[in-house]
Amino acid sequence: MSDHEHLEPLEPELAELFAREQDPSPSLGASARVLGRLAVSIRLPDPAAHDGSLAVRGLSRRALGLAATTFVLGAALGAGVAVAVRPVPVPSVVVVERPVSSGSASVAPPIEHPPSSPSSAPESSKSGHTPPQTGPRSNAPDTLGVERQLVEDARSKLASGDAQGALGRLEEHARRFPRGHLMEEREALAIQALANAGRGRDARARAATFRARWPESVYLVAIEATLASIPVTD
Amino acid sequence: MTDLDGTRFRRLFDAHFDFVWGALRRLGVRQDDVEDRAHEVFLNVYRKLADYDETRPIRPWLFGFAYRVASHARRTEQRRREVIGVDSSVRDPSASPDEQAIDRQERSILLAALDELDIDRRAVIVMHDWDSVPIPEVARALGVPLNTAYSRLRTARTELRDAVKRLNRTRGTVR
Repeated sequence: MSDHEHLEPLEPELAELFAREQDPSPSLGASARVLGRLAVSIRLPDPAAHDGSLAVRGLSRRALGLAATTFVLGAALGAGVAVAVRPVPVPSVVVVERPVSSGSASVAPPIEHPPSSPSSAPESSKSGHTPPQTGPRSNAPDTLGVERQLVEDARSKLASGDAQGALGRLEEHARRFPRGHLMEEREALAIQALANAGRGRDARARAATFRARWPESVYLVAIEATLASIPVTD
Repeated sequence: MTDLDGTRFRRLFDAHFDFVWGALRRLGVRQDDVEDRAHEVFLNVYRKLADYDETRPIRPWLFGFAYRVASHARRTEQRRREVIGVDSSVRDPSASPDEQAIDRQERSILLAALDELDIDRRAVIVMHDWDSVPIPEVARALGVPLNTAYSRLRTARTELRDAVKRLNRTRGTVR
């Protein structure tokens, strides 16, 4: 005889308690905040782009446009060469738990802020798109592939707890592609990496620059959560 | 992970975020922590999305992630409290005694009683008696043998009944 045949029905008193208890529901804006944090960690397309429905809570259509633009930028610009630009599959997930601070202010060199023309940043913020390339920035598919490789490599290192390594990759990206297509994503990751490396002051300063440059970025929710996790002593 | 997987994940998130949130709360994750834990759950779900068997109901599968995250968080918290010497029976050690008393009074009898259960048993009774998930599906989601799931359910019901009686006496409620 199986265990199942010995199972008594639930006592009426307990059954009543379960029936009376309301299902816990999320606090206001919780799904948007969690989604924003996930957006830093993983490439998250907007489902509306695929089925035409905007079944999303908490984020505006504009914010979703920003997110979709950022996250699928590589695919959009590299249409037809998607395989070529991502020859090596790399992890795209970052564990954003903040490790214990090392307390050292010199564990990783600061990444130089990319030079930018005064006119390009506002355009980026208004449209949600990375501004058209001019000057040293190249939109050649292979260049985009290198950009993506560097950013994904940084994301992978961050996921494995190697904030220093992540900062190194992001610094290389900033040096080679100061106004690259993925600079917004790079800066968001850099803020996370600085926080994880125990460089709270640098993370806050970088975040202030980010906020001024991309005031409507979908990454801001995650960045604010990162800043909130930094001990006041950092 | 392809963009298609990302789209699939996004739809899953939109459809089941509330459920995952509720599962974490019913597993005893504190309100202050539930957002962090939900983030953790969905990161894990994203990593394992390819493993999901679409012929199975998705909520028990998601509940399994919530259970493992809540279980890990509880063990971590217990270790932390052991190290710093805080009474593990106190839900929020930073709260004053008055605040703790109010917290105990305001929480429902059911949630307060569930807090007294081991999380392995709590997960089984929440899934089966609250969410009406059949025990074979519970066992599969939690990764335990079928008889273990039945055994945990019986023990959980007994402990829950005893805890409810005790709490009713403490709160002065005659049932």
